[in-house]
Amino acid sequence: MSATVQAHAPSTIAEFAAGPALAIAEAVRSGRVSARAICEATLARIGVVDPKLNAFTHVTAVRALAEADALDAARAAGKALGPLAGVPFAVKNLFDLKGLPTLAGSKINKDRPAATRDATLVERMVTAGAVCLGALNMGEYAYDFTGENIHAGNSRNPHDHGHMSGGSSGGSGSAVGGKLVPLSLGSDTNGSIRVPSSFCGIFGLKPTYGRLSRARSFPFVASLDHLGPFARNVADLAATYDALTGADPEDPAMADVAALPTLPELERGADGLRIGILGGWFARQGTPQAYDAVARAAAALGAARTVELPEVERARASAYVISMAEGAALHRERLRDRPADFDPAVRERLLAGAVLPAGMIVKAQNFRRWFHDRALELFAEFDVLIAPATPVPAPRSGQVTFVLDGKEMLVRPNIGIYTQPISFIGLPVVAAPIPTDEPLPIGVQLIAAPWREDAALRAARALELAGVAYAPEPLL
Amino acid sequence: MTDDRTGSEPGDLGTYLDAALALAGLPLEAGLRPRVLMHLHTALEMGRLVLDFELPDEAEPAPVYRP
Repeated sequence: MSATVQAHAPSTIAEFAAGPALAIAEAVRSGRVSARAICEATLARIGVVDPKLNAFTHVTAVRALAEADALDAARAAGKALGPLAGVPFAVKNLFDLKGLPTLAGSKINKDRPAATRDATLVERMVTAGAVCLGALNMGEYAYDFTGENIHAGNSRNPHDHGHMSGGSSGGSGSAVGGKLVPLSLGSDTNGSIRVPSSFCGIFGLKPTYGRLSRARSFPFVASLDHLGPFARNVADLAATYDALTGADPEDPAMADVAALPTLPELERGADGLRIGILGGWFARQGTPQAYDAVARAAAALGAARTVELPEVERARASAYVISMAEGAALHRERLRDRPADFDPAVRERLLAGAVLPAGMIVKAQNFRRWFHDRALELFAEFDVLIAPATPVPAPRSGQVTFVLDGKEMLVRPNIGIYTQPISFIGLPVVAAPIPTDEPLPIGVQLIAAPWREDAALRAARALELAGVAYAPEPLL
Repeated sequence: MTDDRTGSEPGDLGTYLDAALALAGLPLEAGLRPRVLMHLHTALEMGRLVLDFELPDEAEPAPVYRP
């Protein structure tokens, strides 16, 4: 911490408030900077930059300043502060924030009553000392890979405002990629943490299904929904994940599996990890940028062997139909009573999902266990598998088609071709940005066995130490 | 372009869609119907991949209810 920050020089504080999160927390705990100064600098930056990115749908300035003041008062009273003391964060607007209706990217949910309590993961962030700056833009009802939203406007890519942020946690990616906040939370059903991480050039963690509580968040597909954090470096990501773990009887999908802290494990890097490269489906339908990112990550991690998961296309198809049918069931009354208030691009898929044969969905759930068992066979030989996160860097906003392997395909459903089969079986994944000198970044997935978030995070840390994975500076 | 079928109505899929939506009480205006049909066709192609895969009768679904 420099003397200039001690003197609270505005420009230095503004720079410092963008992170790393753990540097902020250390400085706030030691009293070298106040939580209020960090919070005020963050609010000022949001005021200037967010009109360009449209990442926020609600800035909770009063709440944030009150939380920051409470931290400063607690420190003055000699109380110990948490591991994320004073760190600004914001959440996808499907997390309940006390006092706000939980929009989940929709117009319809504006009519919901204000939430009376924060989501469990928001409560855990605040318990760890983090300061909540607000709610973030997202694709309607999380049925989205683009970050586009016809109600709130599109969240924009911090590296080129004419390109997609990725979805559905678009605001979460844009806010961290644009350095509005050092940390954010999002959700991932089919890729909605990993796609914005790839497009916005940041780190994201989709944990094991059943690992982190989803209590008091708006669902999409209960079978496949996960919540998780975004950050600009691996230590911040691990520390945030560690703060979010723990049992919660209010999420019935949570598994009774102990989570050990991952932050102390990071410096082990990839030592002892058996790392492979996923081929087959994951080596087709991508662009050279996607394959190059995998090759660079594999080289840095010493991964030489390419292996295949069987029947990946069927896994993707299963996730596709389960999502459509469960999503349709969730929104059935709204589809009947408020059809005109949906984004048509969402409604048209939900209506198709409403008429899918039931036997198909049951079979897809049966196949899910079969595919899970094949993945576990691979993890008997490997600790981490590398795959592309997205087939392309961020497409242009509004782009309808792209060409993959010489075939013209629709953008919206096909951005998630590499993420969808992995979340289908709930494997933990770190999405790590692998920038080049091209303006738009792209990321890789570091996929681990169930409950081995630590292995994925260690591989990401090894890539970071090798200078291969890092969050590039935004162009604002 | 492989999955954009807005102009076609495979088999009697349109009849099925109209009847199923009517049974469910879900409104669909004419302008959006081709898009819904396209998505339904894509989903049924995906579903065919799933249904065609042979699993033993003993195969359990993934989510297990824990009382």
